[in-house]
Amino acid sequence: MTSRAADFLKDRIDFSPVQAWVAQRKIPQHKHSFWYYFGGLALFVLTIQIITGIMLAFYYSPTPVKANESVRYIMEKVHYGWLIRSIHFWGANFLIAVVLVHMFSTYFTKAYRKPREIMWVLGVIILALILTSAFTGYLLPWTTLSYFATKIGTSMPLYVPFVGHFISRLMVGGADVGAATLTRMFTLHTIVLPILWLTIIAIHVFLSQVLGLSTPLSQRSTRDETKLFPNFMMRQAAVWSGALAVLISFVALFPEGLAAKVNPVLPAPAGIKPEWYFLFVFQTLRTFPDVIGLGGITLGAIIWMLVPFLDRKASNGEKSTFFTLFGVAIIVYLVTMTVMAYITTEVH
Amino acid sequence: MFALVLDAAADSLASAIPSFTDRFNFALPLIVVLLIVMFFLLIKVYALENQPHDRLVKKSQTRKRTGP
Repeated sequence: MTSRAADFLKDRIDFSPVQAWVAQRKIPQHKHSFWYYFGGLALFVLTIQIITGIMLAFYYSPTPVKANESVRYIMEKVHYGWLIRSIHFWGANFLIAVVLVHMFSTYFTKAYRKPREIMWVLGVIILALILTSAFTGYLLPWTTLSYFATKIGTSMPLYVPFVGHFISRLMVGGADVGAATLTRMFTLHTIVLPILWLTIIAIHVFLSQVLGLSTPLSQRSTRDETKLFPNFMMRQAAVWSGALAVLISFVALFPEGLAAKVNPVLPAPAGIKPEWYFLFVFQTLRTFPDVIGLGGITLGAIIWMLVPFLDRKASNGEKSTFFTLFGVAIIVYLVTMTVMAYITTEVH
Repeated sequence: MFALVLDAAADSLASAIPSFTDRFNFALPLIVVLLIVMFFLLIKVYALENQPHDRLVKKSQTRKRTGP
């Protein structure tokens, strides 16, 4: 049956150029090859997010009256609803962690150097869009924590000169977080952002196939290669299988619960904190004046995105110790701020 | 109709998440299957990469000689 279907397609479409291209595709093999699997792993987790997200959207209702109740309905009445929601919750955390590992491994192996500068810039944009997806998805259960976290998040653009009020108003859809905000966040989370990141990821993956995978400067003498199909893809599938086992373990051990519906009239509860991936922003704003903190993070993100164009040495195939140290400094800053925010319980 | 169902669900104070045992009765077999798949793939790719090239050649030659 399968071969008849294959013959049917072969008679009509000429796949030989694709088959020839796949057959000749090679992946560099060296002692840092391990990091190559994180890009594919990010795509795999993203696929899980898309599938579970569609399943949740079948039942979710983006209105302040029904939002929390519809999530409760998913958890209590829908078959395996608790499982799908927990996979979506842990999947988001895994996705951000995997994308961060992918980004920093790319950075320290200097894979951003010429001719892959555009891939790096697109990668940073993808990370920003995924973080925005996480932020917009956070409000959807309409709980006290998600409500006040969104209130803080949507007030941040107010520090941006000239256009800050417009951006904040555009996100909130009114004077305060409410029905309009929920509809906007849902639309952004399920339509606008997925279209944006899917388009940019498609270009990112296309470029990685056209340009091939980068070999680290220290491994350029290595000439070992492995076939993309079946060798590399079999290993990649093994990584996916292991990662899914870890994800299911997290879901079974720490399933995501549902807090009570928010009462916007009540004041913000003491000790609220954002998710781990936004703790560094939270702590930066507690440590420095808001304008300096947000300005510093924005400037740092712009420099980070432009690193391939600033690191001339790496592009010329030379060691660039300054940028390695810059990357280490960024990691130290992110970890320090995250740990500081985690161990303190002050209210922002 | 949907609003009524939602109200009924909201009124229910039953725990939304199954018990630890129920969760693991579901998760454990899945985790075992995924780990078996993972090791199967790793063993398969190891065997593929460590197969002596000349053995492959000999096999194909033998097949040619004994074929119809």
